[in-house]
Amino acid sequence: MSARAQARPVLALVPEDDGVLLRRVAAGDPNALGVAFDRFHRDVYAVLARLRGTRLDLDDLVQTTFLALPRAAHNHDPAASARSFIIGVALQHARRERRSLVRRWRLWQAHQHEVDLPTGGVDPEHHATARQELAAFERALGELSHAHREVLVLHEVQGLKGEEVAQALGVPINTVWTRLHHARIALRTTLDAGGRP
Amino acid sequence: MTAPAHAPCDRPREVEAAFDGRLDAVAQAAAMDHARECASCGAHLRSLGSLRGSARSLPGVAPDADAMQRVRAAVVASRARRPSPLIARVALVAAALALVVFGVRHAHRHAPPAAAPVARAGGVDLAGAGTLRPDPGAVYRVERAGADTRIALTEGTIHLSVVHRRPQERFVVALIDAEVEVRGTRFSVDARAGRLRRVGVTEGLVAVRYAGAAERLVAAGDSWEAPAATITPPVRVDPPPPPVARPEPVRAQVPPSTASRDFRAGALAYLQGDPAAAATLLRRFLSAAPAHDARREDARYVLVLSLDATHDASTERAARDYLSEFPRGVRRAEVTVRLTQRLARRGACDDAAAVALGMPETADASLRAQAARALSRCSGNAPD
Repeated sequence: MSARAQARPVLALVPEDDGVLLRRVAAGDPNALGVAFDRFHRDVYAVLARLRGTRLDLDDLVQTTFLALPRAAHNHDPAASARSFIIGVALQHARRERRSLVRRWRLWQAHQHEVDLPTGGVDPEHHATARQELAAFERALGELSHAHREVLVLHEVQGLKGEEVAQALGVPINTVWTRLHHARIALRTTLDAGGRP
Repeated sequence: MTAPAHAPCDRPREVEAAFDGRLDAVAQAAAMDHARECASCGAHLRSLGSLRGSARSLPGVAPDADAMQRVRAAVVASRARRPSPLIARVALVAAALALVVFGVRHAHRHAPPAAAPVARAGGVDLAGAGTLRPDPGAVYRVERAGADTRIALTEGTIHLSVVHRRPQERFVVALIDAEVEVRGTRFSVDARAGRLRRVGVTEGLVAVRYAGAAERLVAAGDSWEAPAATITPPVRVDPPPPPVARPEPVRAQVPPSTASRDFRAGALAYLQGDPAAAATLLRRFLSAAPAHDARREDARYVLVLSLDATHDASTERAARDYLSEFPRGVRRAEVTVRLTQRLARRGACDDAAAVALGMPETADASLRAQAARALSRCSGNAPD
């Protein structure tokens, strides 16, 4: 028996393969949609929270993303990552929301530091410094252009591979690396100007 | 990146590419070697690492679990199909693959004990098995043994609405000369002096086997009556309630079509333990019956059972046909389990898992367990 077979859950009623799962979602299976939600909603939520800088209306956006998934899933390439595909669907809706409602941008500015930072620890001084550094990083992240923030959040914060970022954003892979390069420069510049974290 | 205070170098993009893992192994090693020797690129590499370290150290952004559960429920509910009235009707028909067995050889063995009236009016909840509504004067007794329900009917008429029973659960109406067993349906049984007089089927399909006579299927709206010679004259004093005017079903007056005969004979063949004949007849019925024929779901379901019973290679095709034609079918869970088991048996684990994923949310836990066991065996991880 292969190691993969041994690792398969005994009571697996859902396919391990995300591609199969998305095919079921595309076929209109509500169970598969529920499984997809369970698997990916945290990634979607985290990406959207980082990009929007606020949790305001985030639940609605997550819901909109998964409501749109059955239709969108028809376009999923089985060879591609399901996670980046679903994140891409979320980003499309986030962009639509951003374009259609200018006030969302103001909301973002108003709430961009809403995300809680960790508290407590064995070394209060160290953690105080770390909190300041992370807060500076978050501020610098929030000052990037949307395109730069997208690649940084997806690649550096969420850990998506370059190909996955390209798929999620719907851009060529080289565009991802170019944007990432300029995003890093912009981020470092902001951090250096405001005090290195 | 902003230029570090080091001697300029033209290879920072190369170092960055190496940092991102975009280069092949040789180029990667060369870029890293260069970064160790070049102060400018070394600082660049450390800066990249610092940014990534900060990015990966950001606190997690976790959604509120309760809020996400609400979102999940809304998302899934939006995709869950509601059964249409037609589906509901078909569901009732399909759920009533009922057996009415009049077995002479069982007559004495199942003869009820002396009548012991326990209820004479009002509906009676049969503890999850359904409901019983006796006509005035009806004499019966309800006996339960584990998952089995047995009603000993001595006199009068009882109206039963039986929820779908699992294979291991029996629901039996016992009389002196007959036994009526159902899997799930709505019907009424009339008896005189403990002997069966009439069976009327409101919902579902009933097979009747009577002493010395050929078996006969009774469809919803139809009824079966004992031959006059065997009817014991009524003995009860209470007059029966006024009969409800009910026109004779039109189909009872029209000779059954070839398709109808095939359907009935196919179902009967399955009930009689001849799945091969059942499969032949039901296939013929399905090829002739129009798409809107309410019997098609029953036919497709029984066809799956018949083929599975004979280990026919076309069972998978039949099961997929059922799921395709009746994506909201009431037998979807059972068919899903059968298909999952067959796929798993021949080692098509991924296909089996994909099929099992289609298990309806409302599927019985035992059916889910069957599918899970099949998948476990398929992956070589048999549950303890």
